[in-house]
Amino acid sequence: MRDKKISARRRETKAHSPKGGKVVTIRTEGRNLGAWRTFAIGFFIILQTALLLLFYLGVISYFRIYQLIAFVLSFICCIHVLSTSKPGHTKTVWVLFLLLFNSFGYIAYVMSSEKLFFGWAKRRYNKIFKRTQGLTPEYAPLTHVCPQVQRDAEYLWNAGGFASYCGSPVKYFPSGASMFDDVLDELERAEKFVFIEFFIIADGVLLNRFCDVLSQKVKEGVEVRIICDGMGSHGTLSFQMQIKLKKAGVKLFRFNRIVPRFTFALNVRDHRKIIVIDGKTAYTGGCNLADEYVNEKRMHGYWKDSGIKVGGGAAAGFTLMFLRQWEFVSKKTEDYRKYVLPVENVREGAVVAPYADGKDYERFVCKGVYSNIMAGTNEKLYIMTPYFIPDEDTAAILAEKALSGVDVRIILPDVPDKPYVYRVSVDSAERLISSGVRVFKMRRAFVHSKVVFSENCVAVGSVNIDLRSYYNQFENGVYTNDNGVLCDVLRDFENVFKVCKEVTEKNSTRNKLLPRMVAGVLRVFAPLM
Amino acid sequence: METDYRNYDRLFVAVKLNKLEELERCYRALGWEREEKRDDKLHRGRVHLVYRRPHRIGNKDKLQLLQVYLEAALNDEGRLDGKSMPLTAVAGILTGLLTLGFAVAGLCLMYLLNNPVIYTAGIVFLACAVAMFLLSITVTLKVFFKEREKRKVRLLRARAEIVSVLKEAARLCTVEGGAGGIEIINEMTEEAAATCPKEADGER
Repeated sequence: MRDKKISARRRETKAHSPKGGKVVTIRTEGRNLGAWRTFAIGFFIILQTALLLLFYLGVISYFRIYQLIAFVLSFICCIHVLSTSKPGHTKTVWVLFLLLFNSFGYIAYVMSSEKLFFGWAKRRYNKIFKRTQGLTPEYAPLTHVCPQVQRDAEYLWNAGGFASYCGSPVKYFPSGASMFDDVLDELERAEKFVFIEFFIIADGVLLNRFCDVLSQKVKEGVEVRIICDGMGSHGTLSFQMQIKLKKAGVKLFRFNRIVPRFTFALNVRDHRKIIVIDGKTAYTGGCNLADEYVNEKRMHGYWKDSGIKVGGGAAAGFTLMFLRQWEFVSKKTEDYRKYVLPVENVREGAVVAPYADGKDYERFVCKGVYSNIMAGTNEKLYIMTPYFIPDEDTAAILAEKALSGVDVRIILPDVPDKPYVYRVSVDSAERLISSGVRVFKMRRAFVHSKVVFSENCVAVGSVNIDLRSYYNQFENGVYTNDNGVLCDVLRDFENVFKVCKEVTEKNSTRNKLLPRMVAGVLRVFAPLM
Repeated sequence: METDYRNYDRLFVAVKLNKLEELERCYRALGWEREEKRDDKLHRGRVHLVYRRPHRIGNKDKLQLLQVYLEAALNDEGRLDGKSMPLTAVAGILTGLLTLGFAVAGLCLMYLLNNPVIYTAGIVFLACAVAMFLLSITVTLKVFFKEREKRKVRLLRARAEIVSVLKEAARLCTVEGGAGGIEIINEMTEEAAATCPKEADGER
């Protein structure tokens, strides 16, 4: 017993001691929850890959002609890749992969087919959408707003069936701490139901605060449902906490749980961040439900995040979004009319449009929203994103806008969370400097906000400017032209610019050979980042 | 005892003992109040502290950002204080090794091989060793002074950052900790703020 105590103390001291001349260290609890489970899953996946490889080698030794057949099959796959509507970068990487590893590349290509690993899910989503599409108010052209907002609202309707609500109250939060304080206040007032969907839900002070309020609310008869992503919350949400929540009466489901099976479906994640309270108030933004997002745990310097709160009809949009995902994970059909409140057809006031995308939608709506905002701006375009790995279209729009005299600025973190992604992000941003785009890094901070702002409108949500967010993950956001929000977002940007250092052509890492080479190699894996 | 995480934020810190007093005042300036202090049982000279601050405090985002700057500056200062001069050491060792190499080669040529030409070459090598010795002293001293100057500038910059953070915190913080901030600023030599390079302020 005593030995256990001593080793625990030793571990604590080791993890939490000033080292290498450091004067002060903030304790950040290591989260090694589920380390054995992760190890076991990894082990089984590697085992399966090894068995496949062995089988493949056996086949080769028996059938010499296999090499020729494999080459022909890989070549056919190359032609198929080029004929698809995949982004150019992804096509290039696939063709390179198929030609380099032609003897087994075609197997990987077939296994990565969405029809194979996501076909059944897609069919279920289609059924859910078909049954619930009547709950969105009918589209009517917005005549009281500027042409850009009109076009964007029309795009959202045509691309994903997202209604634009007029006159819904909306509020911007420049930090995770301020947003979650407001969420907790609203939760205290919840009467009917609370829906929570996050990529990461992690044990900690913030979750304890939520747990206290939610337990109390369940006792009062409020229905609480939570969806968390299987990978994002793997190893962060403890088994004990799940039991505690379930015992309290909270319904909890994981999206795309990690299983010890080699499948490309592991790459499909639910990155959405949604909180809906009584169908009247909803929140979204960059923050997950974990301590680092409110700066109560130190991870990568100061954690800069943001969020947005919507009410009225826009909240109903989020309710519908959540319920569809809930039906998918819970496999239970239910009547949405109990939760989705009828929306009044208001035709005046600012436009608030909640939107989402993922494998449940045909089009890449989130990318479309960002592209439209970028293309429609004439004065200023400010972007805050933790990861900046744009596709060719986005990079071209940004460069052209800057060359046309638009004030284009990108804020990136100064402290990376994943060094390999950061290298590519910085490299991608620095490539645009020569076109006149101004790149900033927030000093000693990790910028996790995902905000695209122009003089006419703003989009706040969970969508990063990278290929994963654009094409692979389930994402969501809010588009608005509300003046109050535009002012608040602009003020936030101006405050952040004050604590940023600008990256110029002189101090760019593109002047150095090694970082350029590293970024060049890493760029090949950009679709996976 | 139940921890009141609804009304208070908590901060768990490990600090080097020699900086404890300064750090305590810094955290006070940021609105933190010490709740617990305990010595590190395994390492002497380290203390574990637990602070608390009301959860709903004005200008919280700015205070959190300032705290990150403060901790980074304190750690920079600590690193610079504690570290020996690495560049000077490298310069000294490299030039010293070259000197030694020349000397050894010279002596070997002079005494191991009985040939007048090689003997002369040995003398040349020894002369090179003497020249190299003088050069190594000059180079090492030059690197030393340069490095000391750089370190001084960086130390001043870190100190200036600490001062500016505390000034800002004292302005923002309405709780009693604000007084702590002013107090510590007064204690820190004003010349540190005056002589510090201007870019440090410019960056903020």
